[in-house]
Amino acid sequence: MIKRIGLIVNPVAGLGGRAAFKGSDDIGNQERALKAGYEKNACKRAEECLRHVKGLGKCMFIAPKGEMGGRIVEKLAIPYQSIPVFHKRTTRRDTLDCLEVFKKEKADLIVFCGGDGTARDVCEGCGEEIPVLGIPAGVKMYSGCFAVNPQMAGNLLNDYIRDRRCSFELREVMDLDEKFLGNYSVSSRLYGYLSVLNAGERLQGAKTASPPDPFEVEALAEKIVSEMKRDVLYIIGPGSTTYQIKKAACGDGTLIGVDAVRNGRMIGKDADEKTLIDLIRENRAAEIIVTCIGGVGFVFGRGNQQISADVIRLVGKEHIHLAVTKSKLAGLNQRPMYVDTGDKGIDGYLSGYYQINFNKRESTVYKIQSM
Amino acid sequence: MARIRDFHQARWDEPIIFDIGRKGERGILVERPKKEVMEIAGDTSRHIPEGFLRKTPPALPEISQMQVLRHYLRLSQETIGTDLNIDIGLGTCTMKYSPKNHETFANSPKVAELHPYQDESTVQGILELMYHLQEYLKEISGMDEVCLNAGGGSQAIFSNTSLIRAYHEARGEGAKRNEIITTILSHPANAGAPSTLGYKLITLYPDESGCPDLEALKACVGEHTAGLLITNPEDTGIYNERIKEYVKIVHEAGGLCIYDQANLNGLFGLTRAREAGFDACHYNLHKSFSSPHGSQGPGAGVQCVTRDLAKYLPVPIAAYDEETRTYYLDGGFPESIGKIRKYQGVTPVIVRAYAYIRSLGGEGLKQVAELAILNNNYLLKKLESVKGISLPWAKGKKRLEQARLSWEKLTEETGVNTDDIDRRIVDYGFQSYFASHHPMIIPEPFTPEACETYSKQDIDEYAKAFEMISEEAYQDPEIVKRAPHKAALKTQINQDMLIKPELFACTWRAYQKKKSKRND
Repeated sequence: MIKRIGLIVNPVAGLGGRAAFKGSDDIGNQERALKAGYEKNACKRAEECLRHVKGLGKCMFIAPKGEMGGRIVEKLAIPYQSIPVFHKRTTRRDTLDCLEVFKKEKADLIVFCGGDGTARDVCEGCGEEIPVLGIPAGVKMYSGCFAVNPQMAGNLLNDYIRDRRCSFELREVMDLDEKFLGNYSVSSRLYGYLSVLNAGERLQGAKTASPPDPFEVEALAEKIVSEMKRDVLYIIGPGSTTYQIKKAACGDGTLIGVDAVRNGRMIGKDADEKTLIDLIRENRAAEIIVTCIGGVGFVFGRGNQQISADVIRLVGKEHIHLAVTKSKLAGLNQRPMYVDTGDKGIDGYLSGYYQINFNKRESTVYKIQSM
Repeated sequence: MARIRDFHQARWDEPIIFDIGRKGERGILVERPKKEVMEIAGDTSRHIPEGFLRKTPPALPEISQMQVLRHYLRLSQETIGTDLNIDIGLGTCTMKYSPKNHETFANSPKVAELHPYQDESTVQGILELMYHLQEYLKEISGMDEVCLNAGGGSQAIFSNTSLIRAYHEARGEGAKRNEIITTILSHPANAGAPSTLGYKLITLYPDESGCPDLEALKACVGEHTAGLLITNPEDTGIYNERIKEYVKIVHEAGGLCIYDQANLNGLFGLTRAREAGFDACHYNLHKSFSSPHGSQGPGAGVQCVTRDLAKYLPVPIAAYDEETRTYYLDGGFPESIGKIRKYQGVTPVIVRAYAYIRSLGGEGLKQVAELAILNNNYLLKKLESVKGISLPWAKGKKRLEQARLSWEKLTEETGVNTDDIDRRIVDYGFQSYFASHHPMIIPEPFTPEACETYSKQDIDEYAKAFEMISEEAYQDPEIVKRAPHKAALKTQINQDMLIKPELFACTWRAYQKKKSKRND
C-alpha cells in the first residue's frame, strides 16, 4: 500500500538561534537576523533528512508549494501532491491550513521540520489524529517529538516507508515556560501530546521540568568559578545551571542567552554568533562553559546556536567545560549527551568522553555522541 | 491462589516517654546504703574526677515500671519486625536466614560475658572461632588474609580504601595517585569513604547494558588513579560479565581494585573476588552470613585481601601459634593502617557468621546463592505481570539476587508514585520497601530482594499485594495516595521534616529547644 506522507517545513525555524533571539516566530526578529547576515537553515535540514530516504516509490508526499516543503521535494525529484500557498511570507496560519489538507487527504504520517513553535502548531492542528515525525530545526526544541538530528529523522522515515518495525509513541510537546524565567529557572511547559514515529533510540527526549538542586548547582558553580583564569574569555551558555555560574563569576548574566565574561566582568551579554567570534579573536584564550538540556541531553545545537560550529572550532574541544549536575545526568536515563551543530565535521570532532566536575572533589566521565 | 490477609495494625497514639509519668514517680526504689557501710565507704563520688561529675541529675523520664512496660510493648505492636512479615522489600539489605539457635550461641554467657581485656589464655574459644572464621572467609573469597575488625560495611570500605592509600604511599606515589573511581550505582559509601580520606572521586554512569560504562573507565584511568571501588551486581541485579576487563584496565594504570561484596547472597560458591582479579573485597557479615540487623546495627564488615595488601590491614587479627598450640591476637604488623575501632570486631555477629557457615557447609552456601537467584527471578516474573511496573535496562537478561524495578508507567497513567505505593504496602501487613539509593537514576524505583529464605507461597503473597495496589491505583488512585489507612502511623511523613534541621530533632532536649523557639 502506498503511504501518504504530509510534509511541512517552517522555513524560518531556527533563524533566530545564531542571532541570539530566543525563537524565530517574531517577524521583526526574522528580519533583523536576515539583515545581520544569518541564513535560513530549516530547508537545508529538511533536505538532509529526505536525502536519507530510499524507496520513495512506496510513498506519496503531500507538501505545500515553495519553501514550506515543495521546493525541497522537487529538488530531490520526489513525486508529490502539491498544496497551494497563497502568502509570500508564510505564517502559522499556513501551517494550520496544510494540516487541514493532510487530514482531508487522510495522510498516514506528517513529517514536519521546525522547532517547538511548529510542534505546538501541529499539536493544535491535528493532535494525536495523525502520527508525526519532527525534523529538528528550531532554536530550543524541548519537545520529545523530534529525531535526534535530521539524519536520524531520515533513517526513521526510511524504516517506516520500507515497512520495517516501527512504533508510535505519545510524546510531549513542550515549550519554554516564561513564567519561571522570573525565578531564574529555565523550565518547560506541556502543551499536549503527539503520536510520534519511533524505532530504537532515534528520538530525543523531552526537557524535564524538574528544577535543579540548588546545593548541587552552587557546588558546581563554585568549582568552575574558582578555576577561572585571568585574561581568559569565558563563553557561558544558557540555562538555570549556567546562570548560577554567571552570577558567581561576575554577578550578572542572562538566563536563556549566551554571555561572555572575562576577569570577573561581563563583556558580551546575550551575544550572537558574530559577537562571540569577534570576542574570541580579540582575546588570547577562550573557553566555553555549557550545560546540557535536562532529559534531552543536547549540549550544542539546542537553544545555544550562537555557540556555532565556527565558534567551537576557534575555541577547541579541550576548552569546553560541561556544567552538568549529577541529577541532570541521572535524568538522561543512560543515554549519552548529544551535539547537533548542523556541521557534521564539528559534531564528529566533539564526540567522545568528557570529564564533568560536579564540585571540587567529585567528577564523572560521560559520553557526547553525534548521530 | 495467593492469600491476602485482612490486616490492621495496632494504633496506640502513644506519647514519647518523656511526656509520660510525673515528677518523683519511680519504678524501683533503691534502698539507701546502711549507715555503717556509709561510714566505711564515705562519699563514693569522690572517686570520680571533678570534671566528670554532673552538676544536676540527668533529665530522665520519671515513670513506674508498669508504665514503662506498657509503653514499649505498645511501640513494639506499632512496628513490623522481620519475624512478623514477609520482609522482601529491603533490596540489597533484605534480612537473610537467621536461625534462632544462632541467638543461643551469641547470647550464651560464654560469649556475652567475655571481656575484651581478658587475657588471651582465658579466651581461647572465641579466638579459635575467629581464626577459623577468617580461614573460611579466605576460602569463600579466594583471598590470602582476612580481618574481622570493621563494625559494618562502610567502615570496611573506609578501611579498604585506607589500604589503597598505604599501598601507594609505600611506593612513593601517595600524593600523585589521588583519584578513586567508583560507580553511581555502587553503595554511596564507596563514594563517601574515599572522599573522607581526601581522594578526588570519579563516578561512572551505566551505559546501555546497565553496567558501568567501560569506555568511560578507559577514558578516566591514568597516573592519578589510586583505585577502583565497584559492586557486582549493582542494585539492578545485572551481573557484569566483563568485570575482569575493568580490573585489568585499572591494574594496567597502576591502580588497585576493591570489590564491594557486602551482599554475597547471589554469589556464594559461584564467583570469587580472587578469580575476578581483585586486590581486596569486603563482606557485610550481617547481610550475607546471618544476623538480625537494621536500625543501625549490629553489623560487622570483614576485609579479605591479597598477600600484597595483608601487611597494611588493621590490627589485631586472630592467629594461631603452632608451637604453643594457642590462639592469639596478632597486632604486630609494622605497616598496618592501625586500629579502625576498639577491640577486635563485633563478636555476636562474628559468632553467628561462624555458626551460619558451619551449619550450611560449602554446598549449602552454594545452594543459598542458587535459591536466592531462583527466588528473585520467580518474584520478578510475578511482578512483571503487574500493570504499571517495569524492569528497566538489559531487556531479557536475568537478574541475580535482586532487581530495581520502576513504577514510572503507573505514575504516568495514574499519578500514583513509588512513595505512595511504599506507604500503601504497609496496609497489607508488609514492611515499607527500599526504593533506591540516591541519586535515583531509575524513575519511581522499587528494589526487592526475595533472597533464599522465602517460600513460593511467601513470594506469591508479596507479589499479589502489589497486583492489588496496582489495581487500586488504576481504579481509585486516592486510596493509594492517601495511604496508609491500616498502619500504626496514619499520617504521611512530611519529607521536609527529614531534611530541614529546624523541623527535626534527634533528642528530647533538641526537640524542646526548637519547640520553645517556635513558640517565642
